[in-house]
Amino acid sequence: MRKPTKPTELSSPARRDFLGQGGSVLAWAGLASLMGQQGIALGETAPTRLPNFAPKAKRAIYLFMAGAPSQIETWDYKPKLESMFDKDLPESVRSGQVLTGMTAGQARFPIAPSAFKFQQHGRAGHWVSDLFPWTAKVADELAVIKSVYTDAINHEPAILLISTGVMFAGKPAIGAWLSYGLGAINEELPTFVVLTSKMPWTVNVQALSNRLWSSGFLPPEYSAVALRSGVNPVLYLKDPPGVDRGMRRVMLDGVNQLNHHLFERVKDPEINARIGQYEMAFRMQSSVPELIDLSDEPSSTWDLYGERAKEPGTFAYNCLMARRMAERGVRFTQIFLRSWDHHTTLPRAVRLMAEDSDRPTYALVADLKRRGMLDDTLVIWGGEFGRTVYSQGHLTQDDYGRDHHPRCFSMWMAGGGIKPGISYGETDDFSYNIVKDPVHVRDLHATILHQFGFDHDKLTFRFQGLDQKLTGVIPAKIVSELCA
Amino acid sequence: MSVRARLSLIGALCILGLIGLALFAPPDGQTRSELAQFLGDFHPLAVHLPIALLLLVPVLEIAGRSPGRRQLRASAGFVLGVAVLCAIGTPYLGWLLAWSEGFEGGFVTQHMWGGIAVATAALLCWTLRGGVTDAGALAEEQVSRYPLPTAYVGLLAVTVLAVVFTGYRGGQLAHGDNHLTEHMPARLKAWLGLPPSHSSGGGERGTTFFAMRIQPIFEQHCLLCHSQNKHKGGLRLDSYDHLARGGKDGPVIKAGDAIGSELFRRVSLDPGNEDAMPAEGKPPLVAEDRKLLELWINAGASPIVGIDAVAGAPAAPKPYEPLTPDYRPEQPLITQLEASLGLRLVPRSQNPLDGLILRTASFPAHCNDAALSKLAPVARYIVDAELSRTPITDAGLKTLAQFSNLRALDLSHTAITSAGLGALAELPKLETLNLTATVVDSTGLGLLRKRPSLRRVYVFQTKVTPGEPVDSGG
Repeated sequence: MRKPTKPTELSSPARRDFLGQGGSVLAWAGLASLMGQQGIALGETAPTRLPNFAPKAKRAIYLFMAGAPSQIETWDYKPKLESMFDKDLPESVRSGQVLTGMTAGQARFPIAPSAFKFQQHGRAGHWVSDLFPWTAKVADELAVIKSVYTDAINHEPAILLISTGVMFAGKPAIGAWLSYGLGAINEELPTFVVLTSKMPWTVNVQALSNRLWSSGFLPPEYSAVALRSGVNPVLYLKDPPGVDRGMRRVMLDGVNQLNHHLFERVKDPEINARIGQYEMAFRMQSSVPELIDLSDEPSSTWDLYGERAKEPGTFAYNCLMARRMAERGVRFTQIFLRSWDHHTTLPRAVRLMAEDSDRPTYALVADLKRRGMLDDTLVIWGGEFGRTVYSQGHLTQDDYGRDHHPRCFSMWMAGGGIKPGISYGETDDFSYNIVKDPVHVRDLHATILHQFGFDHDKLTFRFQGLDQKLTGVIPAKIVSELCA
Repeated sequence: MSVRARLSLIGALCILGLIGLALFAPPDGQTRSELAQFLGDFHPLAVHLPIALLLLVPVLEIAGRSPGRRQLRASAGFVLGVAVLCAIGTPYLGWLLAWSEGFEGGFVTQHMWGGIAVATAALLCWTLRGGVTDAGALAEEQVSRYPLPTAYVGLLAVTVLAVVFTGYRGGQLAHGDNHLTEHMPARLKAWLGLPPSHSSGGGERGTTFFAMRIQPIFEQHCLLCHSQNKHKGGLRLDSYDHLARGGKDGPVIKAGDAIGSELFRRVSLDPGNEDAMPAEGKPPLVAEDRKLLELWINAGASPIVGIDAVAGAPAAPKPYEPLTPDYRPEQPLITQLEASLGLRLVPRSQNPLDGLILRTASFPAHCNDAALSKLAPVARYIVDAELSRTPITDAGLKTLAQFSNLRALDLSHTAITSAGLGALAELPKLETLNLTATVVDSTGLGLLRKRPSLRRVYVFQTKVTPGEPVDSGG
């Protein structure tokens, strides 16, 4: 029996639910026993949850620029700053904002114009920084949002907020919500995959942790599988000498039987997740070697992504891998590229970051496009907050730094039913305050869920007495102007 | 003259008073003094008392037939008495409400006369039952044997019917015409011979801006109080003619001048304002709706201006069109096919008319030509066929030609050839075709040229083009 169930229903009755919603679970259990079911084991026919309406996007690839790239050097073109070099930021612009400890003590807040020039590109006429000559070629595919803002001014809360909707650890990531809501396209591969990238610049790097891609209070099988950035994305993929597939299967069946016994006794959903993980690992032994074997790529791939994409762990390799996973039915791939946190020597650092990531970013969008996958693959690019217009510390024409700035930053999205070639939102002449069409992080989340067919208020999970949702309790707004 | 007779006479006089009010001071859409409105507002509250009591009377009478419950029949008379008192008092409040708050219309009139009928019938019941009530003094065994007058039984039945009718009309006035049928299961509705719920933005509205964009706003927010059955303030908004006629105080729209239009002013007020519409704490219009009204009035408030002819109006949401028939009746077959063929038929959304996705990514090898041909009985539900990397061949494409509702077809990384593509030209609704990494060439594409619905064909890594980095689709 497989029928659409409401998003809030669990696939198997868990002990917590007995405590939380006793009556209905008892009724559920009674019904299940009437129908002769033993309870539905995960990984078999887990009930499908369905989008509220037909989705535009089937998959997403999130290029997460951790550390927060400066919007002023990248997407938020501010020509008026050029004449304001080293002038003080007017007090009225900052209007009493509390700054971080890194610049709050500065005697003055001198304006630092971008060290990089901008040009208009494509029919859309996007102003794109000279840092991104490759991405500029797909400008007409991008919807650039210049008015994203967040609540947090430091990395960890801000990166959690944009990854999970809440500043504290313990909530499910966007990818976990989508896995929970939509299920797998390909059951032989993980639904939600995280790839971390080698860094071209390693000054002032923030740590990443699996809090950013965990399933939080959702059942654990919706967590991301993080692949390693080395030569072996998955360790111990091959069976050890002397153990063939059949023997491995027999062993797994035995372990699973023990785990099922334990689950029957204690009803801890973590046990089911463990069974699911063993099974996923077994399936990945077959599916991953084919996934990471790049020998079937035509030469046009390397022409597009560049030779660096052959080196495992580079951002370029990860972009190519994300495309291969999207082709094979991975729902949500999140590629982290760290080290965008340029408090000092920003021009030098941002140039290195851009050189490393610009071409693969372009290649990914262009590749999805030519393979007919951009229509239903949502690509998201951005960091966790913006950076200040004033320089942190030392300022010259080509050397300066920028502090954290939560009041505005730029992101872009492409494909997945997003309107191509548009710019949304505006900041003031200092890229300091939003003057038109602000987009809070939760609005961005609501819009992403919308592209996957979900009403963000309806994709919920009962936890701690609340119908929890990605966008939280403050009303979120779908940015309908971004939706094609 | 007995006490009962005297009381009956007083009751009859009170009912005559009601009839007088109904005839000579009927609700006329005017609003009147605050005090009258204040008292009138108690009508919807008080009305439940006589309803409950009048319905209790037959329960007591019937239950009282059983020897063990004779005392119930003895109390039926008293309950009826209280019910009559309430049934006469409540219509007065009702009249106050309707008369002072600008009610008017067919349902108002019917509800009013219904109320008077209930009061009259209840009073007659009480008068006729007289002897039985006085039987409280009789010995218990006599009570149960004491027959109820036939006229009383008949009249009581009439009273109950009148209560049902009047209560239903009252419910319609308070909660909308369809308050009982709105969420009725479709099958029950069909069985009762009721029309199915109209979906918003239905197809028969025509193509004017008024019909498609403005009228739906009125339907959602205004018609409860301003339509055929209830026109508060003398205003009806259920058609353009009525809107143009305006209300008791004159026109409510001024063509070309939204700010100067009473209707726009009232819906734009702060919800706390006494003049704000919709009134009585009903949800206010959303900004988009107000914007549409403003643009339309400023553009001349014409009933015939085209749907796209009002400058600046955001595009109307497209009316929903089912993509496929409802697959749910075939669910057992679908489940069985999934299991036997090792592939998935996934609903695209919670709406069963959005169709199914044929999903093969877990085991592409399972979906060969033979498997595809077994899907024929459910082919019309499939909107999106993900056949990338499957072993299908040109023979399979012939089967696909029967997938009459297919919109998207992914044939990338398969062994199909140009020769097979001709079969796809039969697909009437195909919009997206992915031929990436196949051996098709320009001849094959030529066969698809006559397919007008086809919007995107992807031919990267084929013999069609060497593969431009971008824009090779289309």
